Amino acid sequence: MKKTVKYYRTFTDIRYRLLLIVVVPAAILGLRAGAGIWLGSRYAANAVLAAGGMTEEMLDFLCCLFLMLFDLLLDYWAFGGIAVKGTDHLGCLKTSARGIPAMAATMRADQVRRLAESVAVPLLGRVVSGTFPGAQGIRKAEEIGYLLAVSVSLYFVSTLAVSVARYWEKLEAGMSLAGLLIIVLGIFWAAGQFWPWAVLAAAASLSAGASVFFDRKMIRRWEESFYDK
Amino acid sequence: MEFTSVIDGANICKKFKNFTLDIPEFRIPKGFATALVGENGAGKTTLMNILAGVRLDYQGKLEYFDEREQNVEKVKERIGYTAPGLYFMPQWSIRQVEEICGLLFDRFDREKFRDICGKLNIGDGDGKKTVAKLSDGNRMKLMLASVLARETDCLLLDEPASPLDPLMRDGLCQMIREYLESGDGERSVFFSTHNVSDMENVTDYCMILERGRIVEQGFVEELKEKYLLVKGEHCDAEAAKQVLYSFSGSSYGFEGICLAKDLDRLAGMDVKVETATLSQICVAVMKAYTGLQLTA
Repeated sequence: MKKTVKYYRTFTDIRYRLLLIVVVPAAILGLRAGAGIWLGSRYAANAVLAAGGMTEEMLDFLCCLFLMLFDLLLDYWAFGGIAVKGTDHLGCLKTSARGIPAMAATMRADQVRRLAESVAVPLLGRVVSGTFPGAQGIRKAEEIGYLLAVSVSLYFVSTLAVSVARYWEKLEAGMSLAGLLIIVLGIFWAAGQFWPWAVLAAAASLSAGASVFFDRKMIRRWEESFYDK
Repeated sequence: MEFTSVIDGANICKKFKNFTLDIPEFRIPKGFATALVGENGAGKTTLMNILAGVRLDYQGKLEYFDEREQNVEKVKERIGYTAPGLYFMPQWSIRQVEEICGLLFDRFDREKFRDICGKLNIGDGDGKKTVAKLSDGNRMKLMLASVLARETDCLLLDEPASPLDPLMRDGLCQMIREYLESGDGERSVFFSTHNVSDMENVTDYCMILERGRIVEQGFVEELKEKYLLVKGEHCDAEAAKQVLYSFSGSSYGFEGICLAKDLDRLAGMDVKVETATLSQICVAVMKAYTGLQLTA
């Protein structure tokens, strides 16, 4: 564990860590909570947000959306193109016996960070804005189910976005992918409001599958770089 | 000249679609700087990658150091390898490169790394510049700094001189010489190069690789005794052409490389015999084996 943290700290820039672990989540959390408080206040009765039909659930979606986009953007900064075939970005790592295992551990640590943020930010957004538990008259269990479904969906979609984008050198390609994945995130979010537990189960299964699949695929890609594959 | 070797290879073979690297016997002398020379596509980088353990799909046997270690993973700590291209992630800063090398290699000296970076003027001194923003020459200097800051027993440098300016090439020769001297005969350097003349003053041993085969090798002094530079008058050109190993003529005269054993056959001709440079020898040998049609 200690070693993994050391690898993670070494392979990622301090500015990356500050932005991704502190600044971006705090900013999104702040904005989301602020908007939630505003929405729940009596002053919002005539406000554009309320009049436009903005709900807590919509704020949840926006919170997830921005978290995913920033995750993708900042991941490009730290690991962009790391899985691109043929460019041999890892020349230095391959000359050390511990290079590839260290990078693999870093990637896994980043996945743990992604999962923690995906769950914590939407949930804390609700807590800070005072709309959890017991918002909108929904039963508590269902509300927890819905929030978890949204969080795990966010983790799944972020994992998909980031993992696929690492196979491209151009950020534009990754952002185009993000455009498509927003629709996927939207589907999970919308379905989560009606069938929270089913969506949670589906998102959890997909997340586990995607995490294992992309982890293995990336390590296989690196191992194959020692051969003509 | 007899020597002990730092890396021994036997029956090294790597097949590609249109090319085969095939080296029945291979020895890098210990305690010396060995140059690997060959035209583009001759197999230099493939051989370097095999030796450094970053390419594992080959046939044959390699043994490293006095222990005759066959598992390259066990000796990577003792080998410093640089390669052209994207050796470091482009988004890494110089300071990150330092931290990463410190993490990957036990015997990496951070102070020495900073010292070398300072001497070579890499980045702005604060280490914040990313690899992507460095010029090709500075990237190569950064790679050199990262391997020279480690306690290694062998350096494998793939085309280290190519992106460097003439002044820095001279500096590179000096660094290689200092590295060898600091090892008291225990350290070795194996580098590939197209800039034979710039690297000649640091080269002790030379291997010439053509179309995947080593066609000539030996200590530079031995090669210079074997291959001689001959210059003569235009009137003797046709007769000399039959004897010389390589030949280039003009309306004024000719010059070429002659094998020392064939020198007697030039008797009676008005020729001048000089010591050839390593570069001239390499070009002559490469011309003799190349598949390229260099003249119309």
